[in-house]
Amino acid sequence: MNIAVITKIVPDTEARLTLASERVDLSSVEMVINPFDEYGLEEALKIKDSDENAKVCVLMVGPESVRKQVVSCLALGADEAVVIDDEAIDGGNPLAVAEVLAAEVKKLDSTLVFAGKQGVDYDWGLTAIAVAQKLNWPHVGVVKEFTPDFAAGTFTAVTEADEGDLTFTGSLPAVITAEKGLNTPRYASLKGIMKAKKKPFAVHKLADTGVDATAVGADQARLEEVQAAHPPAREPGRIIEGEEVLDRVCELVRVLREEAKVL
Amino acid sequence: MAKTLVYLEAKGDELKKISREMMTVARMLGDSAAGVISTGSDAALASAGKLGLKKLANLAPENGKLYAAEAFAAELAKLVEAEAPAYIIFGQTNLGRDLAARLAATTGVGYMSDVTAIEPGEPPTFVKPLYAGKIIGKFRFKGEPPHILTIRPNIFSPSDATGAEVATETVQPDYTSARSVLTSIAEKAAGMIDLREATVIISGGRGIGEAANFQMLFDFAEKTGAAVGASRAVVDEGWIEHAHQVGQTGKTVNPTLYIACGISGAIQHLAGMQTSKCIVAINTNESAPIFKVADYGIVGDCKEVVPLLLEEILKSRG
Repeated sequence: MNIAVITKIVPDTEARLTLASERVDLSSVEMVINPFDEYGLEEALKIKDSDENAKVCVLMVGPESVRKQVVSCLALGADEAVVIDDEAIDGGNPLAVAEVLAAEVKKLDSTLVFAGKQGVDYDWGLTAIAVAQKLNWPHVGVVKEFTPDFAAGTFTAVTEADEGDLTFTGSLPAVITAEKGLNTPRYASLKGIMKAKKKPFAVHKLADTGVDATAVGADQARLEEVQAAHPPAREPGRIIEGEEVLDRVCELVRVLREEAKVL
Repeated sequence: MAKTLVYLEAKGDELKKISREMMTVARMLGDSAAGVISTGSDAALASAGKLGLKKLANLAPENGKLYAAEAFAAELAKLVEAEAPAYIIFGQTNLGRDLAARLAATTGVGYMSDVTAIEPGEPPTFVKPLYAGKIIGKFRFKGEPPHILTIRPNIFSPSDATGAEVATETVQPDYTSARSVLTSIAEKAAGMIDLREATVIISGGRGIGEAANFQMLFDFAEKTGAAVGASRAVVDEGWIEHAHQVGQTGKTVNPTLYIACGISGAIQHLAGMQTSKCIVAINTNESAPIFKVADYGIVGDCKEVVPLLLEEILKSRG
């Protein structure tokens, strides 16, 4: 059984972002595997733990310079990686990226595709669902509990919504996008790190995927970014002073009622 | 002016507030709106029918089949074909975002999620937080309509416009062809308010001392109608479930009042709550970064401050 894990690299969540020409300047930012994708990878590795015939392939559209981050997925236990690096792909358009990823998934003969619920950069939440649509597979998004039954070819998945917990049932193959809390990602072992260097790592061009360049080029984008800016800074606030804790609390309640009018 | 198509949401017999917020956006972008909803409640359907829509379609649930992205997207694609709306508007809710994405992939049209502001123009500019709010991004759609957008809850004021009740067309989604179906909803325990819908959030970090002290925050929440949030640090420690996490890998929230208890204010946390109308920070460390974004701060121990704050708030409410 083959399992594909879709991932991307994003700025470290602890990073402070700067701007250049009204765009986010990523030139000096530490890039990491998208945190939500780590839960997708872990879910795939859990299946591999219980089925020695399962193979996990990590897929990413991005520059070959992401090798270090992708190898970290191999160190955790993934079997192989494919990075599709081609300037002809409009990496900012989730539908274009999905077209390329879907073509690679087809080649793998996968039973499952895992991904994070969204990238923690633009937070579109579109790419993995679009992969499902392009493969003509079902999907469940933002999953916090996943139970496959490979013998029956079915699964149940639970997601959390404002209404409460939603339980989905479905059939395999399927695309599942992970919410934090789906599992607890493992750490790489020293043995894993050593083995990772010898695992298959392919860098594909668009031509290798069989996708036509006209389908994924920049002229296909239906949305253009006009400007990126920092949010307005909040006005400096004030520390409530007072002799006793109770004095400070009473003053806080007063200002929340009378100045801020939020109580 | 243009036509819009709005995917309304109901919870039980009530329309969700986001539905009226979507109507506000529909009126900003067009002069006539058609609505789609999926509800088994006649009361919710009647409320939706009075929102001032031109038409309303109900994607009827079946016994034990409440939602199916594939089948719903297929029906919506047909409605889009028939109505030719300029904009298709969803809420950035769990199912709203799910269906919007599946429809975008089905139809290949423009897609913009989590919109928090719209600047008028020809074409209009749509604003959304990027990197969970560290950056504000502005976008314009290109090419022919329709364009899909999802709007963030609690940002646009809910429309109170009403109109004569329109007749509802019942549409039967093809659940048999759908290979992933929502089969049950385990409703939240009474009194548990969703973070994204909460007016007041009281949030805890490592500075509250230990996991057991979250009980103090739940007590506060229960008695004041607030929701309980948490920092990533304590979620990763296992003090509280991830559903409560506020920040870049948790929820982005914008309550009227956000009370940060023992939270130092890591940048990924601030990103998720800095649009709150009023922020109160309670922390023993007076140089904690949280005080830089807080409107009001108390330097002190949460274990002492929170119970007193609860008492005084209840007293002030009489």
